[in-house]
Amino acid sequence: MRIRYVFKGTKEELKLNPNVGTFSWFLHRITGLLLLFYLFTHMWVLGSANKGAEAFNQRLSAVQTPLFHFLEIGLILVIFYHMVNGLSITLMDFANISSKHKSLVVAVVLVFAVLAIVSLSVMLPRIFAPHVPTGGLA
Amino acid sequence: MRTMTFKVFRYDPDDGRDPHFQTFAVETVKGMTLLEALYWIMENKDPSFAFRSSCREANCGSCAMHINGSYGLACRTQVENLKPPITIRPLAHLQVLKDLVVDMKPFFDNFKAIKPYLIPGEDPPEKEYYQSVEDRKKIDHHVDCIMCGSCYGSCPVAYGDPKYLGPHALLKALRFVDDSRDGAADERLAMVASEFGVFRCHTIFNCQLVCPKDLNPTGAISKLKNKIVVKKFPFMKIFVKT
Ligand code: FES
Repeated sequence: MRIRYVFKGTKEELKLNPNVGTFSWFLHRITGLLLLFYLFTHMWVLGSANKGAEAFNQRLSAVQTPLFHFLEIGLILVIFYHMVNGLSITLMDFANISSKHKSLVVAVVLVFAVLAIVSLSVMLPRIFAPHVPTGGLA
Repeated sequence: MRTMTFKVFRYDPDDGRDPHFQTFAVETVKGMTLLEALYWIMENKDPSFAFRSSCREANCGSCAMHINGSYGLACRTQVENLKPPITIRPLAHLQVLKDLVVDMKPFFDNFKAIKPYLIPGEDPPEKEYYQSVEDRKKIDHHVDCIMCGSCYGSCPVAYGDPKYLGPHALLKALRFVDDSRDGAADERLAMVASEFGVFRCHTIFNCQLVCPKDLNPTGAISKLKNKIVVKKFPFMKIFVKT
């Protein structure tokens, strides 16, 4: 029940307050949840090291596929958004520059775009690179 | 004269119908405010139509509502600046009593919780409390709040938790913390640092955006946060601005 209330409320809020702030808040929460989910899968991969080098290599090479490289791009974008937006909120609080909301939003978009373009230019070619099972060190 | 379409939120607890929108064609004239248009509906179309208003000059804060995608005062909004159909809803996060009238009790309970009155630190002086011009300037901004509820309606955190003090109460809290005559700053800071206080704020900026008096509750909340942090960890003074 509670979870339905949250979903309904979030939808209402986005509809009634179609402002930049509401959308960035929404994205911040969603990316936060995605990062939490990622942390578990991350742990699952790294945790295999407890069972020895063999198991670790096997599990790591299992995620060195084009599909996972593709998901990695999503991951890096999620991290960058959450990071840049979080930093901008911290900066806003610390420096007390709440009256500069517009400039902050522009700065967030610009920094995010630069980070995204740089990382995409590195990562995109990897999707199409042939899959080499190098014991995880691809 | 121009006829404009209004889509107005209607709800009457007694007629057994669910909340719905009713469309009215309103004959507007140049210079007509939204509040006048609502009165026109009440006088010419449906006398049972309920909404709140009093001063008609953006001073009392009674007529705040959701107008075409944003919150604002009906008496300060010109209808010719709105794009038809003009959609009117009551303030969000408060229970609707009838049509555009909401129950403001939780809103004012939160306000009362921050003790919105002067608590003098020392014995009263012989004459009046003295406040220098510079000290008065510090609270210039916050005293203008008219408690209309626009910020509270626009705040998604208030949806999630009705106990959250809300931008209006926190702005007023800063008003008293910053007041040179007030002696209870520590008590107030402890209060707003509670579970339902400033740290619930997600810095969404809606309150700042909708405030019809152009106040800055977001900034007030971040200032309170900084004051709390510096009180607890004095070395943080080098990092944060209070
Ligand atoms: S009627 Fe008083 S603020 Fe609009």
